[in-house]
Amino acid sequence: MLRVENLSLHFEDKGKIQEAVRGISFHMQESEILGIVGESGSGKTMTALTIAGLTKEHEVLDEGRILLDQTDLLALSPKEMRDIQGRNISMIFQEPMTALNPTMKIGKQVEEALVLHTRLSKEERRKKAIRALEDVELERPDLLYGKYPHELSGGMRQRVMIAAAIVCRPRLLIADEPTTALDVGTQESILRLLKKLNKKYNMGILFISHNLRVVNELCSRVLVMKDGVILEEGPTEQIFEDPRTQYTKDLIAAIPGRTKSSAFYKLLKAKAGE
Amino acid sequence: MKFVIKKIAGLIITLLIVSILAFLAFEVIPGDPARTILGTEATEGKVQALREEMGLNRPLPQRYGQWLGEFIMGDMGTSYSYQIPVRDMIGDKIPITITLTVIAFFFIILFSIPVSVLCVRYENKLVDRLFLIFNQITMSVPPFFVGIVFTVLFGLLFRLFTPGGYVPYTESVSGFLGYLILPGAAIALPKAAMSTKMLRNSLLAEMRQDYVRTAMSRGNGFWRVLMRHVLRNGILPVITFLGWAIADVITNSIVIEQVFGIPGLGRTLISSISKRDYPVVEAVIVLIAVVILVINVIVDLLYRKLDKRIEV
Repeated sequence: MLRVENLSLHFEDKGKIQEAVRGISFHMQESEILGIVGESGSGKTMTALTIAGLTKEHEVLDEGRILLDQTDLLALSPKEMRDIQGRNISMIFQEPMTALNPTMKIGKQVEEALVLHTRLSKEERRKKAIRALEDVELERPDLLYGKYPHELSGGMRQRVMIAAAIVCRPRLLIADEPTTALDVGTQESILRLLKKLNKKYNMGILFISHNLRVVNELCSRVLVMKDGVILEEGPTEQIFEDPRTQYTKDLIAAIPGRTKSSAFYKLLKAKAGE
Repeated sequence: MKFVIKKIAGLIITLLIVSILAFLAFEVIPGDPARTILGTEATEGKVQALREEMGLNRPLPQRYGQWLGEFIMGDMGTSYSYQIPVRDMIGDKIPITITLTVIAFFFIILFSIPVSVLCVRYENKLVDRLFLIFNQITMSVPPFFVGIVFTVLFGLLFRLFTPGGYVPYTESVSGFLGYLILPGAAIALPKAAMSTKMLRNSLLAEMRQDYVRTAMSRGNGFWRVLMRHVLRNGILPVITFLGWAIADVITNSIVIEQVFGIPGLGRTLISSISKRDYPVVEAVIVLIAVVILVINVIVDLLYRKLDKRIEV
């Protein structure tokens, strides 16, 4: 479904050209959950933003191709790209507290993609928005529809973000550290939700994280990125059982669940699972 | 509801303080209404007799108490210098000043929103820079000077209006409004420049917020994001500023009325002060305070309507 070919990204910082991504290539199958792990500065977020068409405004120079089916996204005009954003490709972000518009009702934000991409009537849009809120397992969606983001908790806001992202049933959801800002219990439930939506709607998920544990829980395949290149790539199990680079080994060793001092974490996890 | 009660209580207290201060001000400044009425030729005895008759020799709290009691009952007193009820003196002037203020306010909004949106769209481009310079200049020019420039430019040079050719609204509403356009613009210009600068910067700050990226990821174009998402958030600090600015706009209306020869409250106020005509001055000051306070309450309500996070 998605094929990234030889993608390089540069941006200008204080007059100097910085290279964020250096000629990476990868692909995603229909309804696959692919993880990209790496530390900050590895180029993973820049890659995600470029696929979502959000770097154009920020004077990022791109080379290579990003093919969604047969269409090269990098060759599209901004207007053509807007047609794909929110309809075929959606994105959710790290900070649920700031990623929603504080002065716009939840319902209006969830149904905005429908306003932009469909000719549905007001009532039909409302129905679809409420169904999307149900899809992300929020209670009383009809009440939520008229609320403002500040009335919701962080976990609920991230669910609203997801509802807004899936309302047009996109084929690809890009999730950039969607659980990082949340507490562990909420993280788990968001991961479970993403998995469920992936199955229910055959929606591919490109999951960006610095946290291998989270990636391990969710993704079937992983790319490990560092300094703008892909260090290794493979099924999640294989990467975990048999990491080929020292960097990946270090990342795995850093997972708190695998160290002896994880009693507290297990306790939290048990609590979250109740 | 609690909010409304709190606001009204605050409004009443503020009005009491304003009226006391206005009363005290006349105690402090030199001048005597009795002397003004009788002229400099009058004997001291005659002046004293008139002061007694006008009740000016009673202690200040007593005079204030009586004035307040009557004012609350709707009686604004009688003008010392014209011997007619204050109500009749200022009643037909209030609409003039209010219309002028509203026109000025309208111009501020009419100018600042489109211009700042344009400046944000073309940030650091020519349009943006030109307006930056224009705003910087107009911001620092006082309205009365702008009024004089307008009079020379549009009145004498282009002959688009007749300086001093004020048309009463009882005669022709359109002529009345037409005459108020230039004075309204003169009052508005410095404040419009300030609010444009504020709104531009506020909008640019908002454009860098996370929710803008979210909106873009749904397929919104720049204009839609700006108009549907950013404007509402970016305009909030400017609304607060406009609430403060209203006092200035009214003050400037009073000054501009002199420049353009408009018989509004401003003229009455200034001539009454020089004649020490206390009842008229008190009434006008309290009225202006009421207008300013009411507008501030409206601003607060508007702010709460736009941003539900605010719980004042």
